[in-house]
Amino acid sequence: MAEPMTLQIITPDEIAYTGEASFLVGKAIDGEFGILPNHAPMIVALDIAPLRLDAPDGQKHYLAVFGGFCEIEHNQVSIVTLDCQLPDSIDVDRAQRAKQRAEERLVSKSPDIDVERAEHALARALLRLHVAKYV
Amino acid sequence: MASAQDLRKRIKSVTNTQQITKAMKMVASARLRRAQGKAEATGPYADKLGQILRHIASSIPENFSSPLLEVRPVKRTCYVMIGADKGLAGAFSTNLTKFVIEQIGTKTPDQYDIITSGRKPRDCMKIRGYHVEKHFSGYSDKPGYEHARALIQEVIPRFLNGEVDEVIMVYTHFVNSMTQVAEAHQLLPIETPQAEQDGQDYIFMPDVTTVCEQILPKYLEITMYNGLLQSAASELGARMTAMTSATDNAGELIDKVGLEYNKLRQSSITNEISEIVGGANALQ
Repeated sequence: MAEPMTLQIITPDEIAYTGEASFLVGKAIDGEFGILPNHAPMIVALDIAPLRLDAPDGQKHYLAVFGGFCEIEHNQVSIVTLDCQLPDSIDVDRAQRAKQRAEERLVSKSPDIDVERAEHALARALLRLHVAKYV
Repeated sequence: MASAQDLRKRIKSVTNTQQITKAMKMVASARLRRAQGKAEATGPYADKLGQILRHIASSIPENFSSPLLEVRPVKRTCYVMIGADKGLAGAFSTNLTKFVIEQIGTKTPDQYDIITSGRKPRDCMKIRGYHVEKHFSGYSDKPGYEHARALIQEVIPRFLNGEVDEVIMVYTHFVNSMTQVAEAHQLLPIETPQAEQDGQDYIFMPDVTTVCEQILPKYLEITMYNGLLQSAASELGARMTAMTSATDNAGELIDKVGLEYNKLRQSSITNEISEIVGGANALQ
């Protein structure tokens, strides 16, 4: 088997994750993609979506990645994103409340509501809830 | 000549002041360490984003142009001043204000806009008769990414609809806790990144123009965030230095007034003794 790739997730405030992976599944803004080790150099614009990460020992991990970019070169994957959360650090109640709030805003359709912002908030809340299942 | 009672009062009040400045110094130095760490932590993110941008630059098609890269003749400049919410930080706010006024130079009021972040720069500019277009405050010593985003979202539309042709961020660069330098950084139009040729062809998903359009605002945000964090560290550094010298000065003052008080006390005792001795001699 090929040598696993190294993965680094960088956020403005810290390096959120470093580790090795033998397989990655992420979602670009136009659809899902998978990466195996020794991929050709690539730059991807990411969507607000879960990132599946298979560790070399075969364990699957899921991370919440809130947009950003993924760069692959020399078997090294760097993800630059505004925020990245591991399943165990997600506050499910808070995400649930955020989801409700965003849904209410979208339903009410009053003119003083920023639809784009509410949709974004909903996407983030749904992602958190989705990833939190994989603790 | 001050009386002994006056001097005692004076010593007490200076001691109180010294205690306060000492406490402020401690708070500033503790916060400075945290702010410095945070300013350093954005390094990897900014570096990586810059690197990706340079990699993209070599693949950008000739005919691609983002409105954020458009260079126009400069008729109106927008200055984004990043400063402190609170004073007692020595010459921190004054230096920033002076620097901005220097930058504005001989421009007439219809050739510039001022956006401020922090209460002090707004007040300083208003006192000097400059019009402040928009104001943000309440976070100067602990800025978050969302504050940087709010500022960027304020300036991008101004640039895009042609209100201003150039956006310049003025902030204080943190060198160390003794030295902070006011600096200007051009935010918009984004300077076309230098292409980095390392002989690799990148694949882009979905395509190079989309990636580029996505990355440019992020690049602006992190530049602004870095400016805010630098300024926060500088503010705390300046405050720490100012409060250290205030504490030292208070100590010197206490010594000086203490000496004067002791002299006065001694001379009054000597006086009393000689009076008593004189009185005793007269009775004999």
